[in-house]
Amino acid sequence: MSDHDDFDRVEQILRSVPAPTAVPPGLADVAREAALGGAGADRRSVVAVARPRVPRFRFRFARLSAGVAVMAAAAAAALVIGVGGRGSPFDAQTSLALAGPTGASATVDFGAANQGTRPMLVRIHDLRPAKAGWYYEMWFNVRGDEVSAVTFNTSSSGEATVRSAISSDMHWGSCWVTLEKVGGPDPGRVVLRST
Amino acid sequence: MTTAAYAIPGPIRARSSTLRRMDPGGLSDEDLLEQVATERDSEAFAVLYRRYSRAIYSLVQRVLRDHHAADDVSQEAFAAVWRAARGYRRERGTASAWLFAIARNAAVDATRARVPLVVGEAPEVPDHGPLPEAMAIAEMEAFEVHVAVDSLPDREREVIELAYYSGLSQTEISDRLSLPLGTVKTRTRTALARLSDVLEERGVTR
Repeated sequence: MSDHDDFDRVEQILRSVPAPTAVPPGLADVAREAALGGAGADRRSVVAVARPRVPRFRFRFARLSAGVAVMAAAAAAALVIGVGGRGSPFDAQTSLALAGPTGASATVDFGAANQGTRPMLVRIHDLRPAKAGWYYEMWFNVRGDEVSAVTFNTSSSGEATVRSAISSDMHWGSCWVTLEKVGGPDPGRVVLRST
Repeated sequence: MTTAAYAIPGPIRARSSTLRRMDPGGLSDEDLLEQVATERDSEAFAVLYRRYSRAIYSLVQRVLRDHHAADDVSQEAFAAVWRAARGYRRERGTASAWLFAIARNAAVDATRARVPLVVGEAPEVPDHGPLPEAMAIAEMEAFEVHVAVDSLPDREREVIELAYYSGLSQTEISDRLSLPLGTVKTRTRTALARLSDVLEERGVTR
């Protein structure tokens, strides 16, 4: 079969099926939470595990939250989870600071290891909110590998507080935050770097 | 005052070329399902989600014709994948067919739950619509095509979706993406060639 015939065949197939429906932005997190949330001790530790403070929530809440995120021009893939509270929810065992060229800054507190994970609290200050279709992503250099820890956007005042977790045996050399385009090519532009 | 964070709990990804140890992205669907079944590997599950989320969501939405219900049922379908992964047997069929069955069953169950069964008289006019078996085959084919399109590199997928799902001409795509027309043509041809192989692998040989 010639390339032309082959392309015709593929085009015919593409035209014969309905267009796929866009997946709602928050579904990834909610689906994963629905699946893994009940796994408990069965769940294997991975290098970076993001854990929302509310471990299980119904999709309707997530849908509302995602809507707010969109309205706030958050990343297209954002799911909004309020973290709230000024103080750290755990005793920080170690901390690191990040700074950016435009005066933005961040602190990351790590708590004690517990059941294979270590809680992490990220506080971002004076970082301009990413516009629609963009988001921020925090990375760690782990033995030469770039490992994504958490993604987020900031509020209109440039603040964000994100709770997450990392594997308790993860040792990193540096940490940075990039501005990423949803579905865009890696790597994003670095906006904060550990000092 | 601490303001809310817009946290997107971790995509748990690694830069594509740098992280092999924790990146199950190169595994086959069957291997990923077995990883989920035997290791309870949340990363393998995340990769499966990335590969299948749009196909599953589209399938569920087509069956239910209700976006809101599709949200919940898709969520439940993925929870079922995690729960039931141990029941997958490679020798019985592809992971794709198994995932399709899980999602379709979830959607059909939801439909049954929503529509009360009313026993009444048989209709006088026969239904000339497609038979259930033909509908299931068409759904399966659409599912496989969507998964195949989602497997394309982003820049190729983009032109294919604009051309075949949005109905744009190559000139319009060129304008939309601010790309030279020649680039659009090249990407389209490359994508079609790639799709031809992927569709054949997935058993879509019409």
